[in-house]
Amino acid sequence: MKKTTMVILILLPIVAALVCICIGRIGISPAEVFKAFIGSEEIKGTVRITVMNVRLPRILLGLLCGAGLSVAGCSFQSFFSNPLATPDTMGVAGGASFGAALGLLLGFDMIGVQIMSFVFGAGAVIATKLAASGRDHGPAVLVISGIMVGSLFSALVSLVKFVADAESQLPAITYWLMGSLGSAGYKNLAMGAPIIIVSIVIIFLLRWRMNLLSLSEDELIASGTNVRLLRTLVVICAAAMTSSVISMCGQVGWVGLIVPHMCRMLWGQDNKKLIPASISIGAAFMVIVDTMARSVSASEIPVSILTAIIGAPFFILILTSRKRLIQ
Amino acid sequence: MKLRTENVSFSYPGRAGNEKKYIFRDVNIELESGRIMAILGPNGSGKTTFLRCLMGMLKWTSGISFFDDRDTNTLSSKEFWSKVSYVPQQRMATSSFTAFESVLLGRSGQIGFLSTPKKSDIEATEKIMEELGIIAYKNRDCNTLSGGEFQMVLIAKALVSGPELLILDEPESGLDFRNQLIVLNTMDRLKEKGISCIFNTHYPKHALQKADCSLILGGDRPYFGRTEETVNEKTIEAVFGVRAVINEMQVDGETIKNIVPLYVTEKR
Repeated sequence: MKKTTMVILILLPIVAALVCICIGRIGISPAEVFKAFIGSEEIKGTVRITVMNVRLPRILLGLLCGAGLSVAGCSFQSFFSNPLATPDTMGVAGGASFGAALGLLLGFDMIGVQIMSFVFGAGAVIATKLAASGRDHGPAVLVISGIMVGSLFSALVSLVKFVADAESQLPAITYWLMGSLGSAGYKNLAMGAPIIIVSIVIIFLLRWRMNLLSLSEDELIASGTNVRLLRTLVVICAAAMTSSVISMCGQVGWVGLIVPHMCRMLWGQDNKKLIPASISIGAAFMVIVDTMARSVSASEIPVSILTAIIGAPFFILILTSRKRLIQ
Repeated sequence: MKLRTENVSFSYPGRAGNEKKYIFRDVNIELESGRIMAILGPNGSGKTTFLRCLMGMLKWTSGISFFDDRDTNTLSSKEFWSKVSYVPQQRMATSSFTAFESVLLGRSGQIGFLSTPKKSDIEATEKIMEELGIIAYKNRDCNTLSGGEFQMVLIAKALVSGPELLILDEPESGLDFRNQLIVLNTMDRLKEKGISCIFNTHYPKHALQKADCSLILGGDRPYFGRTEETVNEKTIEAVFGVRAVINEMQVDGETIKNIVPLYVTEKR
């Protein structure tokens, strides 16, 4: 990757964040944002609170979730050596949602919800992998297995909603499931951020080695690499990132498909370039889409609606243009 | 490099009560540095199985193999694969890595688990691609390469780690006349450098022309020895059920062997 590209990739999310922090129901000028940051007394208290306690955590959450979901998407694509593998299509998002919903139903705290979410998210990956491990499995079989696992878990989520208390729990679970970054707060961030950051760092370090996973089983053995360790690390990190994002802001779908594929079009298939590019573009993408979600209309639109509107047609586009690969 | 097997056999686990059916039995081979060995045999005679056992991907049912006089079971996978490379039976490229990125993957043994390729890895990759004459399509996607071009990428990927032994599974199958020759001549050049090759082949002619020693599987017993002694009209008829003649011709002062199949015989 060229130096200029790297500089652009580093600056992109920072610029996106700085622009987006100024946009919202009340417009705040960059100068005011700067003053809020340094704690200047020259601006109104409401402006400072809006910037520091409402928009900043939300933008940080957006950066983190966008990067996390995109890297998780890349990781699943390597793990399954299938370009259509994403947290959504592999049933991981469904499993993690069910885990989190169950956690909320049982009245667990944030850590408990995250653990539940991870356990069921990881369970869903294993279920999908097993379901597709027949003798003659093409890439399409894998996606179908993933969708089946996902639909099983979405039925279980409905069951959770059905038994949830209609007065207090049901609205909370329903709104959270829709996927929104509205719950952003520093306390919330402090819980989820470490898991996402550690997972991104591990995948970043493994980024070149992940390329090996595209090889056949015999070639993998012949590479002399500890394949089991590699696979385990990749899938655990990917599932951990996905479930951590989901337990913080619900099921924000399709980011793990859209962003990696945009990056593939620009930089090719080499994960060495793909991972850093996905971190940067994913973070910027999420912040921008979330800013749209909270500012285009009078009341906030759940961000998952926007990502799905972009993501589903995008999926079909990849499916048709890659027909040769899918068959 | 020294490779040796002692009475190695392989059978798939038989059902209770049934007699075990051996794919091959009591095979003894010996290979030294800078030698080429061919493995011949009809379809289903266990050529690929033999290679996979040799590389530890399958376990011998009985017998032991030795690499540099050490039981291969006691070698760590890292030790073994630092000296041995494998070119699998050719299939179409499924990932769209570029040729360069694919060859570079062969360096994974030299690169730390959490690390990325260094300058020396990039240089080694460029050097081997240059040597094999494939540097021109370095930046092309593998799935746009022809069968012959892609085979050379796979060979480069195996050689970039600097192995002492190269194991190739039907390297010239499915290639045209010219590309077959390119692949076979590559083995000759490796031999000059002291690198040994083992290759499976469907062409007895290629064994006769290139291999110092040959193993024939699928007969009443395995035949192993110097190619001129092993691959002859008698063993070809016994194992393949084909009556063939082997002749020699003189070209530029060199003796070149050829084999012409005549007809299918009754007994196999």
